[in-house]
Amino acid sequence: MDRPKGIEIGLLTLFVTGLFLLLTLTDARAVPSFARQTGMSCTACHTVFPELRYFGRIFKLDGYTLSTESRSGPWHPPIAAMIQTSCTELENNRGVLKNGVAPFDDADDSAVDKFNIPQQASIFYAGRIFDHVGAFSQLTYDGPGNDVALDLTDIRHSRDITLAGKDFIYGFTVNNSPTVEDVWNSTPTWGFPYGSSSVAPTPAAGAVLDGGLDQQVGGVGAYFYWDNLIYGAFSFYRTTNDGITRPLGAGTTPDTVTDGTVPYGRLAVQHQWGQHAMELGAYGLNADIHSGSDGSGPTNHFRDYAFDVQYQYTGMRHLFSVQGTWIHEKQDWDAGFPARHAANPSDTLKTFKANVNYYYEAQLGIIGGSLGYFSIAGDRDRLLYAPAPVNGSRTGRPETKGFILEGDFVLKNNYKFSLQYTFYNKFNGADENYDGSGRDASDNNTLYLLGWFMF
Amino acid sequence: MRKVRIMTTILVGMGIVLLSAWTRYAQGDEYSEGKSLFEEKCRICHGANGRGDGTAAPGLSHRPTDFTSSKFWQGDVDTKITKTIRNGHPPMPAFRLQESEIKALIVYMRRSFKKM
Repeated sequence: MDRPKGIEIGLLTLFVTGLFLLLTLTDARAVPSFARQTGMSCTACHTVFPELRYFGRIFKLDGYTLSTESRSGPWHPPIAAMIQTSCTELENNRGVLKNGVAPFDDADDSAVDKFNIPQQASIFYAGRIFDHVGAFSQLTYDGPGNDVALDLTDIRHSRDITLAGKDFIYGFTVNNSPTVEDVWNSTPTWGFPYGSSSVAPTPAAGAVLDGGLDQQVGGVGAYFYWDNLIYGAFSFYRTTNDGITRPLGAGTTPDTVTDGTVPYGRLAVQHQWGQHAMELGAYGLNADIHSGSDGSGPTNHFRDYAFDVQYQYTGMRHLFSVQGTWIHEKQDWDAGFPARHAANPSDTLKTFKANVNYYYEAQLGIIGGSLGYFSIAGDRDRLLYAPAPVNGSRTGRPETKGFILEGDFVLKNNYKFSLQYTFYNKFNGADENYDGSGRDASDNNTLYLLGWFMF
Repeated sequence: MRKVRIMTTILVGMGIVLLSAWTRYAQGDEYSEGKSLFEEKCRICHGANGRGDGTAAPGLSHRPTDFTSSKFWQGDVDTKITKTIRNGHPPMPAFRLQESEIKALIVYMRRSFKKM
C-alpha cells in the first residue's frame, strides 16, 4: 500500500508544480537574475543549463558584471531561485530505498526516500555587486538531508584590458570548491551529469579533485584569459572548519579537513571559431587531509592531476557537445596505513568520464539528451574498500564502471525535465556480489526522474 | 578709453579662455563618462578599439558592428545609436540607459572611433 501512495504524492506534486510554473510564469527571461541583469535570454549563455556557451564563459570570466541597466537606475538585487524535485528507482531495491517522500515523512529516514520533494531548493545571489565585482552564490536546502547550507559560491573581481594588442581578461575569485570557478563543463563541479540522485548508492571511491573538497574548503585565486586562446587559474584553499574561510562552508559540517593550504592550478588552451569551440586543458591540486573527520590526527597526502577536453557546436537549431576528463590521484596514507585504515602505504585512483550531448531547439522548447561513460579504477586495498552491505566491496577494489543515458526537455529555457538511467557494469570492484552480501552491480542501476525549475 | 578697450579685450579674452576651459572640462567629463560606460557595457562585444572584435564576439551569431567603419558614421548616427541602444539589435540586447548616458557614449564613440 505504501508504494502507490508514495508514487501518487510524488507525481501529484510534480504535476502541480509544473502546472503552476506553466500558468504563472510566462516571461522566463525576467526571472533568473543573470537574464534580468543582461536583458538576454538564458540561451545567450547556456545551451541547456548549466552547460555554458562561449558567451556564457566570457560573462563568467568578466565577473558576472555585464549589465544593461542604467547606472542611475533603480537597483534590483540579483536574486534567483531553484527547485529540484526527483524520484529514484533502483533496479533491485532490496530495501535500500523507502517509498517515502522526503522531507515530509519521518525525517530520520528521508535520506533513503525515493521521492525527494524538493531534492534541493536554492536561493541565489547571482549577478553584479558593484563596478567590476560580481557573484554566483547559492544557499541550498537539501531535502534528503533536511538541512540548509551555503552551496557553490564564486565571488569575482574582474578587469578587461588590452595586452600585446589582444584582449586580456584577468580577475580574482573567492570560492568554496576547486573547479567551481572553471568555465568549461568538462571539469568536475559543472560536469555531467548535471543532476543525479541524492539517495541512490554511490561508489566507495572518489578522487579529492572530483568534488571531494566541495564546501570543505574556501580559498582565493587569480585567473586570466588572453586572446580567445589561453586560460589560466591558480588558487589557494584552506579548510572551512575554522578561521577566515569558515563562512564559505556555512551550514556544512566539514568531514574532509585539510591541513595548511591546498594549491590548485588550471591551464587550458581554447579557441572559438564560428559555431565551433574547442578546449584542451589540465588541472590539479595537492592536499594534506587529516585522518580524523573532525580535523584531528595526522594527515594523508593526495596529489591529483587531470586533463580535460571539450568540443561544442552551437548552431541555430542544433546543439552538440562532447566533454571528457581523466583524473589521476596518488594517495599517500601517511596516517591511514600505520593506523590500519589503509592496507597499502600508497594507492592510486584513476577516474575517467566522458559524455556526448545533442539538443534540438524546437518551437516548444529544447529537446535532446546525453550519453555518458564513467570509470573509476585503482589499486586493490582491502581496508579502504572493505566488505559491507550496499556500499562495501568484497574484492577490495574500487572499480566502478558504467553508462548514463539521459533524455531532457527544457521548457521556456528555465524548466528542465530529465529522465536518466544509470547502468553499472561494475560497482566497487565486481559485477556480481560486489559487496559480499549478495548484491550485484546491476542492482544499483538507477532510474531517475528530475524536475529542475529556475525562477 | 584705450584703457577701457584693453581691459575689455583682456576680460573678453579671459572669458573666452574660461569658457573654452569650462567647455573642454565639460566635454572631458562627458567623454570620460562615455569611455567608462563603453568599457563597462560595450567593450566585451565591440572591443576596446570599437572594431567589433571584443572578447565575446567570436561566439555571437552576428559579428558586432565595427564603429571604425566609415559606413557606420553615415546618416543620422546619433539617432541610429540611440535607437539601437534602446531597442537592441539581436544578438545585442536593449540597454535601459538614461538619455545623458547615451549622449556620453555617443561623444566617446565619435571622438574615439570616427575617422576624420
